[in-house]
Amino acid sequence: MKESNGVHTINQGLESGSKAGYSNKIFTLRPRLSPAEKGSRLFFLICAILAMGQMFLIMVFLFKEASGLFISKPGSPALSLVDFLGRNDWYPTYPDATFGALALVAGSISVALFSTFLATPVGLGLAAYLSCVASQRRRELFKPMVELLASVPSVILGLVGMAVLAPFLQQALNIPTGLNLFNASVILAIMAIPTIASLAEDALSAVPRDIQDASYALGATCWETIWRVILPSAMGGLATAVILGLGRALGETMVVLMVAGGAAQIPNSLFDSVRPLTATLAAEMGEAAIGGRHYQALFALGAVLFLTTLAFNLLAWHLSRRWRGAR
Amino acid sequence: MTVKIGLRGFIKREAISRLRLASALFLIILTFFISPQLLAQTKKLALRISGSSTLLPFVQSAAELFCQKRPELLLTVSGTGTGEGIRSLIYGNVDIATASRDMAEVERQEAKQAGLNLIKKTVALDCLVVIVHPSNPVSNLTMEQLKGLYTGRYANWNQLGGPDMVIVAVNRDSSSGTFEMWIDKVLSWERHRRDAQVQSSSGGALYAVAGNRHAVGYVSMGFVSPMVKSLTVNGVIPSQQTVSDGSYPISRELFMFYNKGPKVQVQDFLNYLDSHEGLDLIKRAGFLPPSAGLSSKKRAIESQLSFLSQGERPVQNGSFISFSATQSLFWQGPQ
Amino acid sequence: MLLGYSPKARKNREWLALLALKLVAYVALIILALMIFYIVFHGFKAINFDFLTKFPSDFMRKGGILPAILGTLYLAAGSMVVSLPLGFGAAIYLTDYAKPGPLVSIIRLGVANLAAVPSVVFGLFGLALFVVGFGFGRSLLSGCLTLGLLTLPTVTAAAEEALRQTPQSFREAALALGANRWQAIRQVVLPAALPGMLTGAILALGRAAGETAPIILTAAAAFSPALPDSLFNEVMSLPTHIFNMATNGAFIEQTRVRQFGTALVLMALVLGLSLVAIVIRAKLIRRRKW
Repeated sequence: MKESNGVHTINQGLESGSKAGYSNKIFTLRPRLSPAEKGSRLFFLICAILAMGQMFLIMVFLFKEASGLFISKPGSPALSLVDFLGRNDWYPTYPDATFGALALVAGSISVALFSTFLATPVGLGLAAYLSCVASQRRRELFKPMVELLASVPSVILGLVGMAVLAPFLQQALNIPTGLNLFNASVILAIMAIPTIASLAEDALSAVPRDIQDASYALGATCWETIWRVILPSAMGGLATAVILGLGRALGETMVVLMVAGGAAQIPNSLFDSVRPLTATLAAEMGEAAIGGRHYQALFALGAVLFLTTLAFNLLAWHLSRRWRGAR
Repeated sequence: MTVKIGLRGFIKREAISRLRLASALFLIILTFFISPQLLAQTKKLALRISGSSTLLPFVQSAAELFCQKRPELLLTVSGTGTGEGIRSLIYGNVDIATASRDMAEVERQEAKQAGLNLIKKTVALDCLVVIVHPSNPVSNLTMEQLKGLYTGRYANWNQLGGPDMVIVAVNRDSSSGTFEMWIDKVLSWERHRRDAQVQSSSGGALYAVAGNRHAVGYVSMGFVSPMVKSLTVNGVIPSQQTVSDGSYPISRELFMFYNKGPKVQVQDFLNYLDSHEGLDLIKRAGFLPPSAGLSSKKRAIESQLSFLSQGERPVQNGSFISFSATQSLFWQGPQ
Repeated sequence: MLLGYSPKARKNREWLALLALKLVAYVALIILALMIFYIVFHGFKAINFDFLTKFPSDFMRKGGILPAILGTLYLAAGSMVVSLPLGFGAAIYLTDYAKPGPLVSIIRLGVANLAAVPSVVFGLFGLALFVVGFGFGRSLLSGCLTLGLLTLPTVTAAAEEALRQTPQSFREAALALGANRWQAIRQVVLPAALPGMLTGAILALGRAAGETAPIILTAAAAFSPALPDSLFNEVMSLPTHIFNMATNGAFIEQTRVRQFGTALVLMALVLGLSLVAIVIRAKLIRRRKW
């Protein structure tokens, strides 16, 4: 039986999903149903439906609150989706407010991409080291360490970014502000490394022992085995790990709220301040009057965020299924 | 019954009891955390305050002292933004909303629809002080120049009589009343530059400017400290006097809104703010008492003097040093 | 030297590649460890008895963080009250009751996707549903419900994993002895799987304690000089306290040490819980006889 790891993510859900093929056959024999039996069954079904139905509830609420922005009413002209996502004029508190969220989307994407770019090599390297190179003793020491680090709350990392990294960057590079895209990406990468490493390590350990042994038997060195044998056959799992890391970077709030600088502009350089979607949500929700256009616009941003992470998740799910099928 | 025994024998008896013990312990710990407070019979009288982040430090200290006098009250203070405060007040989630701007027309109508009789109380006077890094030689900016600075017309300090370096404008988050006032009075609602840094509090803006040679920012007068240099606007020094007589162009009133209703504790708290001790706190937080605006110049000067002497005696909870340093620099005006 | 397949080139390549891997791993671990050490080192300066047992005062520059500690414990424990029954119930349904089919696939996919939904979106949902919709206001109750929903996928996934690892033969044996399904689950499957399920719950508890964004939107007070005495009070919490001191205070630099002190307390809480979970799990795996 595969040992579970501390980071409970979609991967495990999917893993167990694939095992659903074997049902508890014995239970399908249908013994007599007592009231307790019926009651408990109903209760568990309700739990399961609630657990999942939450997802639809979230969707319904986000879309319901956001819809007002795109529907024309007397006194509040409709905003087209193209204007919302394609224009760069986020001035939500002006009397003639405009809600062009392009800069916010650009901020989110740039931070997520750059942090994944930083975290991927390190995370995968760490995973390769843990699963293929490290001695048993080191592995047993380092693996829990990585898992522990994955659970450090993001607000603490944000604090480190604000109090330590930002002044350092500003001094060392002589830039206008240390709270910028680069700083946020570095902190997000530090946050994503344990996640990526942990997931990738699972994928690497899932490669059957036989083919590794076969590779060694053919005279391949350790590195050649990793590079030519293990890596290709674990590719699906690794891609899943990176995509999930990217999704997580997109959705992370506190780090970007504290460290990214908060200027709603499309970044020209790594050292520009940005204002990702999540930071905007957390910072502006306090101001928006309920039901107002600003409130609706923020929910629309939430819907965009929700749909994006959903898409990433489905992509990861699809990839891991396809690769498993191919193997 | 036999079934049960048979089943139990299935796993070691000992293991089961240990599990039971563990889960029971877990539940006990859970209930320990949850229940004693929440199921308590005696409910404290709640007084919830929310709103402007500008007023937050002041309200916090007032709440702290007021609670010492009235231990039967349960005060909660949050400062997520003027809009949030007013909204919560209309929805009945708070008792007092602090505000760094007046209520908007939309909010007024909403309050009327909710059948509320909201009362506005001016608690303090405040002005926004323009600050730069102490090494910056610029000492005066006109309103027109400030507008250019924040709309992005100026990109370099040499356009304003300073050295050849890039301008970094520090802005406040759009949820703050301070930002709104700045956009209203200085920018007359023109779009601000996109690359302006955003700070979520006056304290944050202060440190951003103090740590950056290129920066210009604006903070509420209570926050000015020796770490930064304050500028004159249109040649007028920001001071108690110029705010009182209206010659300083960027000043405002700070409000509290509350619902006229049966809650005695609300009125008690507001009375406390009007008391000698409350006025003292307003001054210590760096604002002016509301009476200063209505009074003559002479009274303004008097309150300024009393304010200075107040800074000289050690304040009970040790904030003496930083406050007196802050204020003395401020009252000397920019060098 | 590094190209081609001569024995020497292969050996060099091997040496270099392994060195690089080791270097990456060590550097990553050292950076992460240094960061933790920095927080512990600076945080420790703030920590004393008063810091842990007093109320904050004088613009957060004095006193302690007691209400924030208790607030976080209330929120985390309250979220478990919501998510444990629901999560465990859903997991039991998925493993022991459901027949494989579209409904189960949809439920499982939904739960898996929920685990990746950004926490701030949960915050928005909690704001729309509990704070505004049900009129709970910003309160402990709204916060607990929101965090409970947030941790539900974690709890469900972990519980399902633990239930799945309980051998099929246990269930078969119980049924063979004449138990009905509910009896088999209650008396055989659950006792065997419970430690694993609780491990997941502890991890979820840690996550709930460290979440910030949903709390800002649904439950947090910046300052309260008294403890909450009903579910409808706002509460302070450790993460939001750190956030407020670091970004909102009037004395950001003066409270720096306290920020790190609070961060240390929060980290000790969260990492302590994770450590407990990891240790329990290691023991379980070693002790498991099936």
